Amino acid sequence: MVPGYGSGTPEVTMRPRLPLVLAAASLAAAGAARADVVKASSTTLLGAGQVYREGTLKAAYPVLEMVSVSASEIRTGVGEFEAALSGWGALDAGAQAFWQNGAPHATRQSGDLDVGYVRGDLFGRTLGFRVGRQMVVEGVSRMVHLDGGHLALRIPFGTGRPRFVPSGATLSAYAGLPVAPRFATRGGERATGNVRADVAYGGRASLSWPGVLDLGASLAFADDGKEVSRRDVGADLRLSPHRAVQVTGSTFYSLAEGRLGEAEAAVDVQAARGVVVFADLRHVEPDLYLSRSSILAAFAAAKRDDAGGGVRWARRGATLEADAHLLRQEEGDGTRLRLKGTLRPWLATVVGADAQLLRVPDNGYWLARLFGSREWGRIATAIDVWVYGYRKPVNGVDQSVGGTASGGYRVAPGWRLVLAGTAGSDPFFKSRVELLARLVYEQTYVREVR
Amino acid sequence: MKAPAILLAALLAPLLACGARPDRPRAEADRSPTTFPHEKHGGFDCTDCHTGIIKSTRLGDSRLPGVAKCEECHDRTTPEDKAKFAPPRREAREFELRFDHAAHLGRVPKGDCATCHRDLPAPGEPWKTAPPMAACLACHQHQKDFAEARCSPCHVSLKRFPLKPVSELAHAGEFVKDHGRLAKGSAQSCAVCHDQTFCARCHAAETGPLRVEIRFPEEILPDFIHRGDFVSRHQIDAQADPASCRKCHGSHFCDSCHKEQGLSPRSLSPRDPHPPGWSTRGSGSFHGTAARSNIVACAGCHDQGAASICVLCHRSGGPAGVNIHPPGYKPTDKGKPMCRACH
Repeated sequence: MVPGYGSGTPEVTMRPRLPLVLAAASLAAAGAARADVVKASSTTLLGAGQVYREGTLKAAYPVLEMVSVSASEIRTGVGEFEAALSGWGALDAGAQAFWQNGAPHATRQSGDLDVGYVRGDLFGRTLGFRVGRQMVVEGVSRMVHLDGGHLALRIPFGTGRPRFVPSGATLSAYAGLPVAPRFATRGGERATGNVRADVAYGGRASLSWPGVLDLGASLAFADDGKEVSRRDVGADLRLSPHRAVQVTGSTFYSLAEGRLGEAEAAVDVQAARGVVVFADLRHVEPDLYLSRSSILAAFAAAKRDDAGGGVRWARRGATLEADAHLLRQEEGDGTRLRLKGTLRPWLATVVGADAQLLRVPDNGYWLARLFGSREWGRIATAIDVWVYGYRKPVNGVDQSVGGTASGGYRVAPGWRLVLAGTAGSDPFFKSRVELLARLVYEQTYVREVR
Repeated sequence: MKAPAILLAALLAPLLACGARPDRPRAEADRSPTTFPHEKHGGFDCTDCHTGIIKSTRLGDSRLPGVAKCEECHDRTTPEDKAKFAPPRREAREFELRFDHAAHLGRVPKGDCATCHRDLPAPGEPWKTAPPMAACLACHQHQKDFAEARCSPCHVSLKRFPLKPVSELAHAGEFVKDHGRLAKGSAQSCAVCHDQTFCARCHAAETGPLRVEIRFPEEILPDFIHRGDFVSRHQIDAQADPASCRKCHGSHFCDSCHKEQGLSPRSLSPRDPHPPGWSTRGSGSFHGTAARSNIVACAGCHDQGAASICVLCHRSGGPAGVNIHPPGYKPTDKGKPMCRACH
C-alpha cells in the first residue's frame, strides 16, 4: 500500500498474490527439471549515496537482491514450453526509506515480481500461449505489463515460395490486470505504469511475407473501473522492397476521442557495406497517452511533429552515428542533434565519444561524453564521464559534471563482482558521491541432444 | 503478509536455479577428431565422394561416404583394412543451423564447395566443417536481420546455441530508441534470443527496484535513456517528447518523486515550481497556455482525479469562470464520473 496519497479515487486492494507467485515458481521448477536451456541469474547489490527528501539530505544504503530463472525449450509430446521468473527483494539500511521507482514506502523491506509466466507453443507452433505476469508488446499495446494471458494462433500458408506470396497469418489476443507495485493496488491513482486501469485487453492480426512485409492491425482497450482508460486501434508494417531497404511504420487512433494519437514512419537504406542511411517522420498527440479517465484528458489536444534522419557507419571495429531532427510544437520549434563514435583500437578495448544537442522552447542542453572499457583477463574496467550544459539554468545551475568508474572481477565461472563509484556536481547536488558493489551470478545451462 | 510472500519467492528462485543442474554444461561439443586426409584427395570434386550432398536439403540427412566409396579407388580387401579406413561413426546430434545444400550448390561458381568450405579439418583435428558466418555474409547481406534478431531462418535456437557474433553485430545504432518500433510487429523475433526476464531489466517500470543505468554502470555502450544526470534534464527531455515518457510511466510515477522533492501540492512543505506570472493571463507563462501545449507535464503533479487542484477553480461555477476544454472538444459521455467532478 502506498501511504499518504490523497486521492479522490478509493483504494482498491486486491487479494494477496502469494498463490500466483507460488504457482509460477512451481511451474518454473517443473520446467527447470527437464528443460534443455536454463538461464539463472542472481544479483546482490549494495549501494551508498545521498537522497534529497523533503528539504534535507539523507543517507541511503539500499540492499537489493534480484533473481531471475528461465527454462526454455522444454519439449514434450504436446509442444514446447518456457517458464520464466524474475523478481527482487530490497532492504533500506539507511536512515530514510528510499524512493523506489515510483513507489515510496514507509517500510524498510520491499520487493516484487517483475515477470513470472509460462509460455507454450502447441501443435507445431500453430497455437501459442503465455500465462502469468508478463509484458505484451505487439501492435498498439504499448508494452503493457499485466497479470493475465496471451494467445497467438499462427496460420501458415503453403511454403512461402515464391517470395511475394504471404506465408502466414497470426491472430493474437491478450487480457489481464495491469500490474501495480507490490501486488497491493490496481488501477486508480496508484498505478505507476503506463496504463491506469483495472483491466486491459486487446489483440493483433497480422500477415507475413518473410523478409518482404509484415503487416498488422491491432487494438488495445483498457477500463478504469466503469470508465474508459484506452480505446485505441492501430496498424503497423515493415516492408523490405529490397534487401537493403526497410520501411517501418505504425499508427494508433483513439476511438474514445476520435483522433489520431500517433503516426510514425521510418526508412533505413543500407547504402553500402557498413553504411546505413535513415530518415523518420512522426506525428504525435501526447495528451492521448493520458488515461481517458484522467480529469486532465479534457484539458488539451496538442499536436507535435518530429522529422529527421542520419547515417550510421560501421567498419572494422569502428562505428560512427550522426542524426539530426527537427521538432515542431505549438509553443515553438526545437532541434535534436547527435554524434556518437566508438572505436576498438585493441583487443577487448572500446573507447567512444558522444555529443548531443537538444533545444526545446523552454530550455535545452548539450552533452559531451567520453567513455571507454578494457578487459584484462578476469578483470574488466569501464569509465564514463559527462558534461551537460543547460541553455537556461536548472535550479540556478547551468552545468552538471559527473563520471562513473567501475571495475569487475570474474571471481569464478558465472560469478562476477563489480565495484563502481560515481561522483559529480549537478543542479541538485553541489557534490555527489555514490558507491555500488554488485555480485552477479549468471549462468546458462544447456542439455545437449546427441 | 506481502513482504514475506515476496521474500519467499526471492528465496525460491535461487533454489530453482540450483535444482536446474545441467545434464551437460554449455561447452564445445566433444566430437571425435576427423581421420580423413582431405589434402591427399585434391584431384577430386567433393561430390565425387559426398554424393548425397547434391540432394541434401537439411543438415544431417547426407551421410559421409562409406568404405564402398573408398574401394572404388582403393583396394582394401581385408577386414582389418576396412575397419582401419572406415569413416568414424558420427553420433546423431542436433544441428545448430538449418541449411539447404541442394539449393546452394547450384548457385556457387561451378558448384565449388570451397566457396564456403574454405578450410577443412586435417586428420586429428576436431570436426569443424561448418564455414564461418562470414561465408554466408559474402552473399547474404543480413544486416537488417541482425539488427532485429531475426535469426530463426538459419539458426535453430539462439537460446540453445548462443553465438557471440550476434551480440556484437546486432542492434546497431540507436537500437534502444528504435527497438520498440521494431518490436510492435516482431515480438516473436525478439523471443528467439530473449525471454522476458531480459526485457524486465529495463521495462518493469511498475516493479523495478532501480533503473538499469544505476544497476549496470559498466555497460557504457548502449544508449540508455536515463544515462548520466537524468534527473536534472528530465523536464527538458519530457518537453521534447512527453509521449515517450508516458509509454512507460504513469502520472503517479512522476508525482511520487515530486512529492518527495517538495514539488507536489501533496508535499509536506510544497515549493512552487512554477515561473512568475503562472496565474496571470497574458503573462507569457500563463498556466492555461502551458497546459494546452503540454498537459502531460501537468499530469506529473496534478493527476489526482476529482481531487486535482485544477477542479478547485475550473469546476462549473468555480472562480476561474472559463471553459477549459480545447477548441472542438466533444464529450463522448457526459455522464462519466470524470465529468461530474466539475459539472
